[in-house]
Amino acid sequence: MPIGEDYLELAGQRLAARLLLGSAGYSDLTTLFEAIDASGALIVTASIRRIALPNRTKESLWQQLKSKNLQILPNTAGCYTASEAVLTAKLAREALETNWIKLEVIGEEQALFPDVEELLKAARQLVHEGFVVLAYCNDDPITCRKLADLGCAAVMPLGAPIGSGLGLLNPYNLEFMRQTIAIPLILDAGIGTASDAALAMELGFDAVLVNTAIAQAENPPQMALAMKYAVQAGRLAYLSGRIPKKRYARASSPREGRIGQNDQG
Amino acid sequence: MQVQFNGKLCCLTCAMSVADFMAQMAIEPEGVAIAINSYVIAKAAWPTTVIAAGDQIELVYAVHGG
Repeated sequence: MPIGEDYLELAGQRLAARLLLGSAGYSDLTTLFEAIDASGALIVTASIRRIALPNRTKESLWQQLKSKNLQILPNTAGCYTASEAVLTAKLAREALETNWIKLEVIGEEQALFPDVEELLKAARQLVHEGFVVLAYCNDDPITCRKLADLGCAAVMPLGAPIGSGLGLLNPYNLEFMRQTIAIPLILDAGIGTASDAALAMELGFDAVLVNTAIAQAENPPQMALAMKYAVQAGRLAYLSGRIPKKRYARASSPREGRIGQNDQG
Repeated sequence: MQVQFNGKLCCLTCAMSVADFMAQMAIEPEGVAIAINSYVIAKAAWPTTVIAAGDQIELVYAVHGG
């Protein structure tokens, strides 16, 4: 399929961009929106938090994203139980007029790995209540398959801990997931630089979500552009069918006709 | 009367509707959501939902996040 016709199909939407962006950690709003522009991302994540009064005078993040025709994807970051995550999702739906939710239920504070039991419980309930659930998960293919079986719109396994920049720590598991899970796979968390994003796409992932690697790069808009190209390159490489890995060399130049080769005797 | 508002004890002069509470706080409805005792109150129900003593109120909006 020509690259120009290769869309990301996600919950009934056809999206031209396979790079999603997180909105946290930018030095200022101008840099955030320059990065979004450079990345070509159409979906941007946001968190749900208590309003800090009386500071509510500026145009809200939601309004600013809406004004640029960007789709906001609220998350349940900071939730440690299914009930917290479900309530947060419902608040997000009411506030932002979307039933899409990036579901996160965290199990511990150092690596921010998900609590799988609570994650599955929350996913089940939210799918039942009509949410479009994109579930952040660890790199366990079984848990990811269970999330898919529950009716999630996408599974978002981590490459490495959130914000760590360690890249894809377990490419074997991620590749295995692609072989066993049919719904969209979005690599989320741990990406450090463009080659990490490219690798995720080469493994067959449908999209990548990047936040810290862009927001805290030395030049965020430039890194966002690099990520855009990396996602496109990785996707094109995946569709092109790479050569298998071999243990030993196989000469690419022909053996016949080499100089210095003479008959013996 | 006392309520919990975003995790802090808060005194209201009397029981009031969510709509009146939001007006008192000078909060515009766009982009915000409110839950009372873990139930999300739809905007259409703000004028008719009354905040009572002891209620736990969460008032939220979208902020930067990953």
